[in-house]
Amino acid sequence: MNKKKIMVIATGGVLGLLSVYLVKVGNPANMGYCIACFLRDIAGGLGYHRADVVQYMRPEIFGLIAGAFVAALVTREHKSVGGSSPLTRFFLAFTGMIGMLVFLGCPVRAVLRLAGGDLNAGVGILGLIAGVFIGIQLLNRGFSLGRATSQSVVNGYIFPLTAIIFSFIILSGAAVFFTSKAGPGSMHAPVIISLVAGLVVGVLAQRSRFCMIGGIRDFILFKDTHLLLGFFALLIFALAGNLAVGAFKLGFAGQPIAHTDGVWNFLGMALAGTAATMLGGCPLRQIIAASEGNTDCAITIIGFIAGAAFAHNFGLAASPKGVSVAGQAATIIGIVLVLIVGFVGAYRTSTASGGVNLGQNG
Amino acid sequence: MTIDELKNVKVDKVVDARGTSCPGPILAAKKAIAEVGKGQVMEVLASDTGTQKDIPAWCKKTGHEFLGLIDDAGTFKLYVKRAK
Repeated sequence: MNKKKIMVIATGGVLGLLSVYLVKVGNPANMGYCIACFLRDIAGGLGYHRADVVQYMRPEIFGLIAGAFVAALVTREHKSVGGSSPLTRFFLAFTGMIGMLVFLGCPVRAVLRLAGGDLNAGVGILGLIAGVFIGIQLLNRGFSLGRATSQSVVNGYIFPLTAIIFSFIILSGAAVFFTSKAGPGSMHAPVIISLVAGLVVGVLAQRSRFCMIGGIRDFILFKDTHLLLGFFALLIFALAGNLAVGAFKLGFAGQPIAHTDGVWNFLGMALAGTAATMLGGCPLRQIIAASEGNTDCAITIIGFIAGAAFAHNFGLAASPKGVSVAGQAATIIGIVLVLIVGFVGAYRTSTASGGVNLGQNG
Repeated sequence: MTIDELKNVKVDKVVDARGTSCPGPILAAKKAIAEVGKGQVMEVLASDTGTQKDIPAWCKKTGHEFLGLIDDAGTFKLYVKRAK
């Protein structure tokens, strides 16, 4: 097994074990790590939404960004690039986030939930696979976000340095941000542990290019299992960790921060999977790429945060009680709009020398 | 192939996928390989670092011969000979 494969497996394994540990020391059950939930909490922490039970500046996210940023600097992989359909990315991220909040988790949490015995997550993962498959069809018929180009150096530093400044404010203990008094937002590991857990995963994910969507996509596209190994490592290590600490409970009903509505678990993740495939990677991968200086991915993260805020301000996000009518309608509308973007976005305006058509910015 | 051999290889088609992110380069390569003849060489230009792994993996699965790559100041030039 080559070093790159070992790195991917190590990333999935460490992420899985850290997730179990973070739950043990305070994070919500089956939510040791969840990019969608944590961005939603950060949206609340910044006061972008009014759901007072999900407001907390999750240090894991800021650690993740800082870790990936430092790793990219050290390995000279930090590059300021952007200009590849930023508004389309924002839209796809916004819509994909609504799908994730209807399911109640990102692809990482879907696997962590399954590793905790939550079979509803299995339905969500099937939806995710269906979404990736649809996204691949759109890519195959020509959907493209176009080319990114080099940008002024300062562009690539704004996102990671902002996150590092936030990290210091959080570490200082200053009561600057909104913080939940009850609910999932009030449940968290100690700040320093969360931050270090983020840093570790950030470094590993930057080095391995770990991507939950990429694993499924590459296997469907050309039977490549490289990134899929990370997906399975996450599942196996988190499952082993949960069994070791007695946090495994098999079944559909009564699972933590989850609902049992299979249709919407499936469709929510199908929407997320389609959007993420069109975006080129899962939310975790988007954060890592943004930390490496990709400003398009930074816009994607802003889209996720805006989508989370919208979902909670207007009752679209699910709760353990189920999915609201508004959430169901938003999922259907989201799927339709993403498909329209996918079909319309098959640009064919540039031809490389002797080559093939690629995209609108080429 | 060595870097010098790659620099001198006769290229029949250039696929410019620079600036596109994963999986743009692999999709461009998949599309373009149909436009070169058996035994001809396609050069894929990419800036996404994942392409260094993806193109060889794709060649392995499809049977095309991966001749090698040149890292030219952040632009990866990958050479593929069509097998069938």
